[in-house]
Amino acid sequence: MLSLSGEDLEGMFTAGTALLESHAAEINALNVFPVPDGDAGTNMLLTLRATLEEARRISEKSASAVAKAMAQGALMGARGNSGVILSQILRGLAHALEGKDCFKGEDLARALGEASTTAYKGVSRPVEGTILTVIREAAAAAQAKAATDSKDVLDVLEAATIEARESVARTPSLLPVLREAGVVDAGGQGLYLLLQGALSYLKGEVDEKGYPLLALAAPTPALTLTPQVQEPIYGYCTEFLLEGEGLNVEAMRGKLLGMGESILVVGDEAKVRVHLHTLEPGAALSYATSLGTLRQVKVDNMEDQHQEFLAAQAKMAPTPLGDVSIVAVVSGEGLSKVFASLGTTALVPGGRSMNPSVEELLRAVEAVPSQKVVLLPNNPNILPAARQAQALARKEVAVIASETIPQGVSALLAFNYGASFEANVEAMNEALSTVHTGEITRAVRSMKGRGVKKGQAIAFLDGELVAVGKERAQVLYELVDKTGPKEGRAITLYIGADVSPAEAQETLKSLRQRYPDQDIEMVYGGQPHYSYIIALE
Amino acid sequence: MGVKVVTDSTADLPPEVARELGVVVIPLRVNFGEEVYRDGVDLDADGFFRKLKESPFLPKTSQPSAGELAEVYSRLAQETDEILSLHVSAKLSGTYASALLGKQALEKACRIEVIDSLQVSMGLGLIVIAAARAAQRGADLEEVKKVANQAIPKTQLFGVLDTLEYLEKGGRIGKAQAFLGSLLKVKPIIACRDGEAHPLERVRTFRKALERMREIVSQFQDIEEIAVLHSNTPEEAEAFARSLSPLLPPEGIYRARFGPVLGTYVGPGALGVALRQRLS
Repeated sequence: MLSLSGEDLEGMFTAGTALLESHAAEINALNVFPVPDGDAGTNMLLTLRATLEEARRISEKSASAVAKAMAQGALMGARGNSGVILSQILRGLAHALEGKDCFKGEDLARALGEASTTAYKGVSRPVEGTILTVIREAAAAAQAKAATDSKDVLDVLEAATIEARESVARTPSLLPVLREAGVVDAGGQGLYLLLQGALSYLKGEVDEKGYPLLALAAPTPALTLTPQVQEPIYGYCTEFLLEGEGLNVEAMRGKLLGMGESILVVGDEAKVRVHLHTLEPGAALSYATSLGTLRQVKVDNMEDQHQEFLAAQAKMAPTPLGDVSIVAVVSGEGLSKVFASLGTTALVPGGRSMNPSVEELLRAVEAVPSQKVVLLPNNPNILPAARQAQALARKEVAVIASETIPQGVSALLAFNYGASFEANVEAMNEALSTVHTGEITRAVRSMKGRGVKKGQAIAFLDGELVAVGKERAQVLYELVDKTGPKEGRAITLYIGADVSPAEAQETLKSLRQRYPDQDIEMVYGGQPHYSYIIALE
Repeated sequence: MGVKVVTDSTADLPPEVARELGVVVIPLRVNFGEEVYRDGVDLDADGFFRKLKESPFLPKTSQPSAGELAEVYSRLAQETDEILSLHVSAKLSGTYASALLGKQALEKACRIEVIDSLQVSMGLGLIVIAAARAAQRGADLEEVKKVANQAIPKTQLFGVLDTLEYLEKGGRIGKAQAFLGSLLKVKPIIACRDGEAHPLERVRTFRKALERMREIVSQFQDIEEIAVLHSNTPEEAEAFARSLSPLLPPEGIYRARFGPVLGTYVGPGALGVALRQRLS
């Protein structure tokens, strides 16, 4: 084929997104550390969905218009680090295709080149062995192909895709942490799948109709003080893990589509994770039990949660901090309450392995009453989207580069009601380094290089793996010991959703016995994935 | 004939300092249920914090009446014809209002100036000391009043509290209300600003709070006077006073105590610092 239209472009991305969706869980698992909160796959998927929604909205279907719409959608819908880089890739693509009704092989090659340059420019410290390397090498291959006689657009895309696959395979040789962990780069893999899906579509191997795209919940009403922002209050939030044989994700998704909203179905033949909002959780669960074994079933009445939260908020309504509002990204019911009680004006839910999009962050910033806003991402993966929101906001926004909940809390406590905005931003940034963060979880896979077996309890101190063991409590003590005894130090334990009150009490008691001269407090965090998050000052 | 300086017991002036400067201190009242005590006269700090632990009643305070103020002015008018009456912030107590009324009621030809210090505890105390020194030097009422008014914007009061519940229950929480409801155990650092409690910062431990307060104090230039106060932690207060030594020689720092009235609002475990910068 010689030239492609805007509709072809849309089709390519739709198919690419579908392929990525079917592998989202695998990509999530490509985490450098064997921790359960990997979300690169989900982030890229959600970013791409936002991209496509925007493309669908426009009536003019020139390549230029479609690319531009996709870039716009990605800009707002970007989630996580990989999502933000994807949005930069699309931005470069759109810029190169500007004014074009159709595009040929040379145009595609040039567009991929510009996508690569734009992506690199958007990252302050580009690291090789990541999605950046993959787009760069794929673009180079595309450009090399376009310079030859077989500059057909299909050949160009194929060259890019093949190179992308090989580039992904090479990422462990470029990034030691990947090699140690025995995984390839998640973002790069996602990009490869996007290209592969697009290629299959162009080759006619894949019918776009086989991949219905599911709209996530509609845009929300005013955000202020409400955590359930992006999900309309609709029945029961139902989640479960289904284990079985020969499970058909497509068929399941199709069936569940008729039962509710915000459907998320990811997995493979043996394990499928489902999330949906429905008025009849029973129907969804019955259907699932007919297919296999249910685990980790959770059904929450969203109306209750919402009312409870509003009531709690009304009681704790923070008075405006002078003319500054604070927006924080938090996941976990208890943690949300802690942040709210310390004066956070608006909370953006971190979601279960779902990072907030640029748009969600932006809406929070716009919704709070002040013109000056401090943004606490509390996660390195959310930082790029936070900076993006800052750039787009019409208010004066300062992003404090908090990477963990303890850092976020320290920054929040450092807020001085008597100081200027600038002085506060400085004080909050300084506060980040005054606390160490401990995280305890279970390994979701083995890590040979570090002697970690799947299922073992693992402890991280400021992002470094410091202890492995059978029991959570054991690695917790090791972690605290590693930071050295410090008289009069304050330790705060945030209890995760999977820790029973009895275990939490036991742990607190033991810790206080072991470290009698340290101030140890325990707070219910309710966070997913990490049984304990520890703040050590 | 010098100017007589009058203040109230919320100033937490160490008794020997008040004596040495000839300052007259009018007591407020603290009551536990039906028992009423004159602050600093019938009940001292030790007695108060002991009662706080034992009494089933939460203490309440009340201002001296206009009549009491008038009586004091009247008595003083026998020795002098110039009185400066410096009092606790009107936002925190009705003492200032009583003083204004007391002044009006006075019939003797005596010049009385009543000033709202916008301060409390040794924040008020340091302003009183500056005015009293000027009076001792022989300044007239105009001069002494000028010193007092100059001292007000140059005086700061900060404190770390163990809990905000006394301040809240006592209705004096002011803007520090922003600190209520924290789910984390944090120590609030508050200031007296614009005559009421203002939230400053929160920290996780008492030790950190003292570090922060020291940092806050050192940010002020040309400090001439410092006072350190505590509810019932004399050792920590002494250590804190010593930690301020680069700013002032430790002997030059006033050691004071939160009296019964202040104790009613700051509660046990509180530690404060007041400072006055050089008057221009």
